[in-house]
Amino acid sequence: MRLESAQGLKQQLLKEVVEPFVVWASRLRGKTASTAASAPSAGSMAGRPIAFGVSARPLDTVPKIPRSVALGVARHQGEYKLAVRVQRPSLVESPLMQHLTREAKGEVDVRIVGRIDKRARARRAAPDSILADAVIPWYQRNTRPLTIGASVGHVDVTAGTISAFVKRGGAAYLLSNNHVLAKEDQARAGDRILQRAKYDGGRDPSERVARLRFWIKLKLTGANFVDGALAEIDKGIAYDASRLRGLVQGGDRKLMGLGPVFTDEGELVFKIGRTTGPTGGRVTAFDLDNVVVNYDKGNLRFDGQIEIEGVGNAAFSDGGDSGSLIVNARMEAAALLFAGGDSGGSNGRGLTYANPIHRVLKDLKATLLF
Amino acid sequence: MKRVMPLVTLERAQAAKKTAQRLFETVDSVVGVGITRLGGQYAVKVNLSGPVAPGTELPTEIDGVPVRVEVTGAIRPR
Repeated sequence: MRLESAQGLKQQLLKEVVEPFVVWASRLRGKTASTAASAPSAGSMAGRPIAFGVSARPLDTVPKIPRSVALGVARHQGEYKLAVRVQRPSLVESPLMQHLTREAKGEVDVRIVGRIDKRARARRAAPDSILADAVIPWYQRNTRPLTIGASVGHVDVTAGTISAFVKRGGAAYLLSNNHVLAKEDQARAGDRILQRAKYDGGRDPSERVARLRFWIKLKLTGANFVDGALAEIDKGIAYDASRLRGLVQGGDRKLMGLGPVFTDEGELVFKIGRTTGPTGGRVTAFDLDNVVVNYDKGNLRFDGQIEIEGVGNAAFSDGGDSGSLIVNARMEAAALLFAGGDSGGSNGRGLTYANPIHRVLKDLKATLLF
Repeated sequence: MKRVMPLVTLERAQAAKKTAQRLFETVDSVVGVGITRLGGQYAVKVNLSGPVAPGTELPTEIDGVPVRVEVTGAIRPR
């Protein structure tokens, strides 16, 4: 396209699509609103989930704006294109990118640029009431009964995912990661757990659903096996232990129980997570030892892990999907998602790491409900 | 006659993985050593956080078990 066209399109898309999304994705922190005009342009994006990733971590460590998208103009052999720079591989396949590509009639130059460490200040967010309900996916909303895949977190943690529901002794618990529910060992038993999580607008006390009870300590020396924690579900809070909402091609599935102890390379797996929703993946490695994960408390080593890549052109997970239950093709529980990176995998969209579910349940002395 | 390579069993791959862990112990950028498959056979997978220093030799096979090295970048909790 011509330079003027590319520039015009860039301005138009910045105003209509990208700015509202950035404002909107950073809406949390309970800030109230300034303008209704900043709500995303209606219609065009309605009903499509947005994958804005933020890792599950203490709220005070998070930059003001989530990593997202920048627009510009790129020149290729005399032709101008819309330049799109995304800061996460998962955004390449996002509905936002599909929209931009459509608007530019395919004349786009997309590159992943990684983290850029200069913080910008977002305009204040629109209030919840103005956000088009249809555009926020169910897994980032207040979901009752509590459902596998929905946003959850310790009251001081951004957001993670409800893995599954378990029994220990006589009580029912929700399962997720230590770094989602127990703040990497910084929390105390009895601390409040919110659904939806703080980052998704969860309010304390009205969206309290559970209290932190048990977690596996994360060791700085030696091997860890599980990043897991249990929160006891409050009386009067309903949960659905078997529904795998929208897991395959938008259709529900039911959790069928525990899968086999052995998970082989090449196995097809699925998960529902707070950020990327339902995705499919393939096991790329198992019995993975010496997995070094950069936690806030330091570099921790994990042994006996499972590695997964996304199928097709998408990432299997992104920040905020921590805690997701990974199921096999028979809808049996296989693993607990806890970490990932942005490079590697046969599609270059990064790899995801997970604790085998048998070890998780054994170490937490829990049995799976389904 | 063409020699038929014996199939790499899971046990052989696991033994080679142990050797790989020893061999790669001094490589700082190792962020995972596990089992994968290459061409249908079990193999050892070694993940690195970044490219190795020029001149560093990495094995492509241990005791007849293929080794696949992949740069996976840094791994963060999600």
